[in-house]
Amino acid sequence: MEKYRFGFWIVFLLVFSLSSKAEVTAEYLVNRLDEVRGYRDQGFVFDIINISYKKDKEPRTNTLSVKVFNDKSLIRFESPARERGRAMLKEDSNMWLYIPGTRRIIRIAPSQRLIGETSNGDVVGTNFSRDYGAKIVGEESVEGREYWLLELTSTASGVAYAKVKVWMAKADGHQPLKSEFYSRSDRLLKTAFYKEYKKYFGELKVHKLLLVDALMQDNYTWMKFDNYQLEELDPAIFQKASLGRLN
Amino acid sequence: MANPSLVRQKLAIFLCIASLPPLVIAQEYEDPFSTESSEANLAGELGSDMLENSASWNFDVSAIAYHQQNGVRDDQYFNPGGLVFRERESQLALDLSGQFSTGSYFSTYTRLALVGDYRVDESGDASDEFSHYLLEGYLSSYSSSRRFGVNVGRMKPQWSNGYNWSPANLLKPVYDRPNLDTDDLTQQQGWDMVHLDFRYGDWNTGFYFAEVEDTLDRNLELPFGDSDYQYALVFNREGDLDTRLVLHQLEGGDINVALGLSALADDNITLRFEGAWEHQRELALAGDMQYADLQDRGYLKAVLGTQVSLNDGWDITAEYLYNEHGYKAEEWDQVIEQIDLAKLNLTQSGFSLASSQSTEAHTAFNFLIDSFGLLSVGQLRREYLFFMWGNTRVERKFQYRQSIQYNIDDQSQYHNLEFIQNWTEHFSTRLQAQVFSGCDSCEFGLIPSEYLLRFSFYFDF
Repeated sequence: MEKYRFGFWIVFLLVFSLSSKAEVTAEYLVNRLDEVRGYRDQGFVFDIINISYKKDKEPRTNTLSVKVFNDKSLIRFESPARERGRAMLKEDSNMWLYIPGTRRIIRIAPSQRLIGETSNGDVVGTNFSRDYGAKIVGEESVEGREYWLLELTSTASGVAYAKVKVWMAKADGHQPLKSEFYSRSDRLLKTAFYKEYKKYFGELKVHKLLLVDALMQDNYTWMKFDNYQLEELDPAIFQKASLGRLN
Repeated sequence: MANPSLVRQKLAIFLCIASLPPLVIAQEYEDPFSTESSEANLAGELGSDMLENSASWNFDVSAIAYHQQNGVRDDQYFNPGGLVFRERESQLALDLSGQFSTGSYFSTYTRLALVGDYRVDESGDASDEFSHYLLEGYLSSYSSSRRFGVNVGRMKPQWSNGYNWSPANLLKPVYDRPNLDTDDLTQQQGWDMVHLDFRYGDWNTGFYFAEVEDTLDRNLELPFGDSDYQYALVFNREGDLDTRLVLHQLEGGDINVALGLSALADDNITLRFEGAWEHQRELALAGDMQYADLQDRGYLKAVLGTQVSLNDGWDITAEYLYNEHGYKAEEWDQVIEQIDLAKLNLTQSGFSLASSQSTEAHTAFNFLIDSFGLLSVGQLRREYLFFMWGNTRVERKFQYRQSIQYNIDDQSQYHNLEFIQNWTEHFSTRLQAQVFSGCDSCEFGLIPSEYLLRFSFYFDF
């Protein structure tokens, strides 16, 4: 009898673990990855503070305010003082930069987003569920906690990174722990560590993120996301004419 | 000889360290947001507009100061003999702008320039001047969806999508030389107007009703001087192929048309086309100065351009300009012939500014002065090339930008070299050298300065 009971529990645990694994699909995880970085189909606004560190150089701080609706985002540069008033409109691979001094709006190429602070924005601004195919390629234990290893491969043209690996918690919430961003030649470019989460309107969002340059690990950026607010944003706001305006 | 077990031990330690996951490395990066004080400081940087969504304001002040030394030519072809040119100049300017908004229904924007100039000409005479300009100042009201809005006041709409030439900016009078003098705030002065704005999805339409006024008194006595008002209807479609159509009419005049297109050619290449077809010729035809008969079928000005983005934030920009407003070779020969004739008349009459002279001599003198004024219009000839390369797109301490504008018709050239140093978040400097080369009667050879050196200081408060 004892032997049967033991066997029953073994079978139960096996079935339970298999069924729980079956519930967590790659699609579910990639949706979850998008959810912790925004509100998917709803308009929302938030602020970003970037502090970038380079070896033997003073850290540089810049602040951005961002409006997002689906694949459109309007990014306003708040600091440093020299860049205050600059703004960028992004819609898929189309990007326009507004220079306040001359009132000019210039179309910029997607590759330009890989340079400077805007490249950091790209790491967090990517729509993974739309632009990438996902599969669970393994499981890993980090500091006693279990994670799914999710591999994302780009399916859309013009995306910044060809492949992304994401470690997502097996526990409830499935929060990402870190992401690795790879070039088309499969070279690791950046690693993002999701360091802290915070609740906004009852939903957990990434609050602090550490982004480390894979080639020069002395180059890294701390990013703080805050003041998430849901807002009704009409598509008319995401036009070039809005770039120089406060509201 | 090395102990093999020690070597193995070191190798094992090395492999252990090398195989540590990046997570361990992450522990070394101290969180700058962890202290309350840093959070408070950084929150302060976001300004009022981010803390209060319903009513917001923004106020920016920038100071620009420069000193410039000009290498004046010994002889300027259009100079009747009485003109002296600036050898040194210094400027201190404040660029003040403010926005206030109570949401979409009401907002205001104002931009004011205060400019103090000190100039010394080649004869040693000095002059100074203080001026203030209302560059822009308008009231805005939009519906809550932002689909309909009205703007009233002084505005500078920007319809061009280019770097060096802007044919689609059809409102008159226009002085738009983004790469010639970036410190000249007066280039940003707008027109007094009413603007109706309709937006839907990727489309928008604007109607503009504006005054025609040369408020800066640049002495551009152009054919449109008789019109008091001008109108424009602008259609935009934004997306993979940006399209802009501008219909412009001076009061009582015919309709001018401009078309602008821009698109991505590749992940790192952008393309643009911009063309304008106008009834009025841009070149000054003041007083008795008329070199050639005007054609009656209109004038085309078109730009084809591309920008290639390289690694590390470097960009290469190239543009080609075709300009029917400019003089073709035979017209330019007539210009030079008439200049020569005017100079001969002056020489024969022994003209001097101090004494009264014959009517012919005065006519000749004025003709040369008006001809000299042509240089302020720019683009005197038909075809030009522009190349620019630099790394100014990305915020960094040292930036570099170099450009060349090449007049294909007469092979004269304008070179521009800039070194920009961003010392702090607020303070920058710029060292600029410009060289104008070409034959005596070629466009850039006619610029009074053969070269100039400028050292500029910028402080953003």
